[in-house]
Amino acid sequence: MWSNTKLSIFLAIKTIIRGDKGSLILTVLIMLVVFLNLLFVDAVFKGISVTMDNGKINYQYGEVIIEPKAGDKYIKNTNDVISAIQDFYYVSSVVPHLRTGATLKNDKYNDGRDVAQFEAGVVGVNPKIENKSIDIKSNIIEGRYLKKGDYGKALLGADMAGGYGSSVFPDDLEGVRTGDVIKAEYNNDISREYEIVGIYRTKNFDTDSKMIVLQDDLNSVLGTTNESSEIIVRLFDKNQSKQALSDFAKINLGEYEISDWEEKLLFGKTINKSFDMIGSILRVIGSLVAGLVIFIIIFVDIVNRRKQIGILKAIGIPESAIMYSYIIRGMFYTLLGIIFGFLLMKFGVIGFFESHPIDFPMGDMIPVIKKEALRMSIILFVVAGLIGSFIPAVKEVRKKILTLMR
Amino acid sequence: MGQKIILRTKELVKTYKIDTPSPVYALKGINLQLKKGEFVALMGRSGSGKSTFLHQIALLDRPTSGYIEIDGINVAKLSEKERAEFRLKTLGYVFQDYALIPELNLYENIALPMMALGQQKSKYNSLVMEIIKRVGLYGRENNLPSELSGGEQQRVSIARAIVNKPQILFADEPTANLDSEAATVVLEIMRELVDKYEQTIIMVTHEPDDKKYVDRAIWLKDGKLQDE
Repeated sequence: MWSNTKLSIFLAIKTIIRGDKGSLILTVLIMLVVFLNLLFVDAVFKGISVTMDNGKINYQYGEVIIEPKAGDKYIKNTNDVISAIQDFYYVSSVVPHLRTGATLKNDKYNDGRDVAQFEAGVVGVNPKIENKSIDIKSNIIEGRYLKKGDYGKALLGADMAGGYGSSVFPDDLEGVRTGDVIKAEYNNDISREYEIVGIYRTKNFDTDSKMIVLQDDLNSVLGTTNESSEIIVRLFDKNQSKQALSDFAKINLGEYEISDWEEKLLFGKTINKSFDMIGSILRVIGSLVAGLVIFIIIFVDIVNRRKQIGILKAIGIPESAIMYSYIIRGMFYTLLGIIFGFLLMKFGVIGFFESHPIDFPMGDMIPVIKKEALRMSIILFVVAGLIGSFIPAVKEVRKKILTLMR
Repeated sequence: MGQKIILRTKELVKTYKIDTPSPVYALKGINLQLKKGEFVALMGRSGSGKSTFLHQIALLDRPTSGYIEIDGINVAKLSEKERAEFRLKTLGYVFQDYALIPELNLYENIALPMMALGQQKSKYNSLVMEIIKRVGLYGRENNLPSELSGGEQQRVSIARAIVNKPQILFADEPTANLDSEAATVVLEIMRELVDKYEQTIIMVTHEPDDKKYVDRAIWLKDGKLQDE
């Protein structure tokens, strides 16, 4: 048995090393492309999920969000809450937001006849600290960010402003530009006019349908002081969110609703699960294709070596040794396809998309290889390679010697 | 030449297209005995059945009916696995087109049967080197078949065939692809194997000149033995 195995390995190695290099390169190249395809489709779906998650985390919820309990309007003593949590070693920044709703109106010709309006959320922020947590500043596509003393000034999400490319919303304010003045009619019957100083686009739909004003400005509308609608907590590592929830629960924040990003992404989770399912289906189809391609490659390889198989059989080399040598060859091609496919994916394809992300409506997408998906792809590819090598090897080796040598 | 019968066939028949109304009889009941250390030429015109006969007695094919005994063993009863083992341990082959493995060098091609027998290199190395010297290819061990001439490749093929000290060496037109000089070298090596080591050889040939190297020539015509 061992001598057969040794002989199989010997024959496989020699035929690989001393065989036609062009054929070897072409074979490995095909395997590489097949494996790359298997990885890429999955990585794109994962990339979309991650992009959507990151959009929500970076521009909406942070890793942890503290909100008033149902029935309460605001978080009281906001500064005390912030002081209590900002010293945890895993907390990178904390910002309070004031939120309310308003009807925004854009009287395009200032004649009261052609007024575009939009039911929007208005967020009050402190521009001095906001960017450490929610970086709208880097996503300004026209104009500038808010600064201290910008009373009566506002930022507008591009999807709501209108005229900044495709939008997911059926209606918008029909082309608000920086310098334009729009009217906000708040739910408490207070109306204010704001000069738009900047238009932003984060590609997170919820964020891009908001108007952002100074917190002090909104305080004056809502009559609030040291109160907030939400406190956004950013962590150095999003995987520490569960620990943060546990720690925050111990420091007397029980009167508030504390959630982490995973709880907030329930809708996203559903989409992610759907993507996972689609990814799994495509992976199985990809594996079948891979198995077929490997089968064809190994089959052609074996057919080209049919006479050699006949010679080996004629001189008495056991069928099993010949068969295993071809399976080893098949597995060698498979493993090289996996290794080079992975390296090309990791350092070529992903490297490229890191510098040139795909411009998806929900964000700039970079394909992501998840360990689990990679492991599954490798297992499926190896199984496909094994079956794809085994069937033609057995089929050919069992033929009559004279048929093979003809 | 000894007296021991090394090969015996009785009423050996090979038929093609058995299930058709008119089957083709390639061999029509051949009876033959071969003594140990005999060098026999199997001769005949193209289509006479000489290669078919060789394939049957060399266990490369199965006869339709009849009996084959090699070294006292009824080989018809052997399973495919046993036949492969028998070919490896007891028989040697030299083919018309050399049948070397192109990716193995001269040494590896010759040593292949020993490796299949599970022997360590330390045990077979001196034997392989001795055979390489015997066929006049010393110093060419690392050459691939593509780096050798036709005559040299055929000598490698002979070396591979005798490395496991077979009871019978089968040669299927071993000089057909060689020029006369190379053919002479190959035939002289085969004659030397018979004279020095009492090697039994059955060689298919249609070169009348080859007769001077053999002990006996057997003629086949239309699947039957003619005379000796």
